Amino acid sequence: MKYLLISVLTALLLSANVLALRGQQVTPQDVYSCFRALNVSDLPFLINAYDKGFKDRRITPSMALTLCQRLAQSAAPIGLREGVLRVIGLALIEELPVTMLVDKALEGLAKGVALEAINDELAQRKATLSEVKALFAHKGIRISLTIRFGAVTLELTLEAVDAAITEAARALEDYVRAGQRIEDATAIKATVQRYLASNRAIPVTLVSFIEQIVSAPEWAQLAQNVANRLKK
Amino acid sequence: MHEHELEQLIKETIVQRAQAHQDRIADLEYRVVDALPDRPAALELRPTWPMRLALATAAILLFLGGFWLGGTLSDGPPCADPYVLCLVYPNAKSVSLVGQLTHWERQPMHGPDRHGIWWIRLPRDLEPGRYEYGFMVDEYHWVHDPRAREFVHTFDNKINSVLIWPPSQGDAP
Repeated sequence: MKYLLISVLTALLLSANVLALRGQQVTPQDVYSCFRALNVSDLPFLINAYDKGFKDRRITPSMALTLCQRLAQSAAPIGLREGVLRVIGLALIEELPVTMLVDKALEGLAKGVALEAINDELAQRKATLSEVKALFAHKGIRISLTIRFGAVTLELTLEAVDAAITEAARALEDYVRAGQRIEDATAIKATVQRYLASNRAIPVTLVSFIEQIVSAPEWAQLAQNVANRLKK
Repeated sequence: MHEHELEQLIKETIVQRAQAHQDRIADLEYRVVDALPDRPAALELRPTWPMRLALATAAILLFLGGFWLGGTLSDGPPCADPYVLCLVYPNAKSVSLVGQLTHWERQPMHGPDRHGIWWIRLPRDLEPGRYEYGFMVDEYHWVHDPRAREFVHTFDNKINSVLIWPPSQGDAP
């Protein structure tokens, strides 16, 4: 009888824990409440943009809430804090992957970087993402399309294409910011391919396909664009 | 009488006397033991539940204490372990790991040991990939990991270290 009672009590406690954990799951409403608490000037735009991001599965409510909460801790003027949310919101509306942007924003906030600099960096990286996406689209790399590479057929998922765009953009940004030679198209292409290969979300077939269809001068042109934006 | 004759006489006299009293001292030790009063029964230990619990707790504490002592007396943090990130910074008051691994939250590191080494263990279930990170020393000072194999330039041209996971053979973490 005693053991039965202990078992029942343990089961009840475990159930309570599971329910409590479910209760803690972040919802879009939690994110919007955080936006409201920040007192942003254009709440409808942010709700619209992030709602699309949640539906498209490009950002999770948990990621968005973390970003909003860290921005809330900043002492910078609200306009600058809202700027971060806005750049990412614009990227979501343009159907760009935003993991790199959220990541950079969190990095800047963690390091205590001025919000003007964070906003500049996000705008530059968003432009790079946009250019890589356009290049890929031009080459037939789009979500839900099927590519044929040799004997292999691969249907492109949102996760794979977004990861490829992100890694390529990250590779270009890192290459240029490290001060390496923009003229060395072969080195730029090698860097992009290395970044693509390091991400397990990108199928090997897609990595090989990109290597085949995107030329070194095309990557070099995008690297040049990154360098031009950094000079401004 | 010579000296040796006297010695011989003494020895013989002792032997004769001892033989004469042989019967009286034969069972002396048994008689002494028999004459002793009965002792109370030996203390009997019956392990009760509280005693068992106390013993188990003591065993666990000894086990954990051994680990702690082993760690304290060992040569230092296990920096050769690929799951451990280390930084030598003897003068720091605090060092935190900050990066994609921690979602850019500050994760305090252990240390310093007597060589000024700070260290932190990576999660065992770390997904394969590239992770940018660095160390925040004394709350505001950004320091890259000199043991990393790759670096990237970020805000204010500061440097992030890159962890490639899993490391290829011979790579530092």
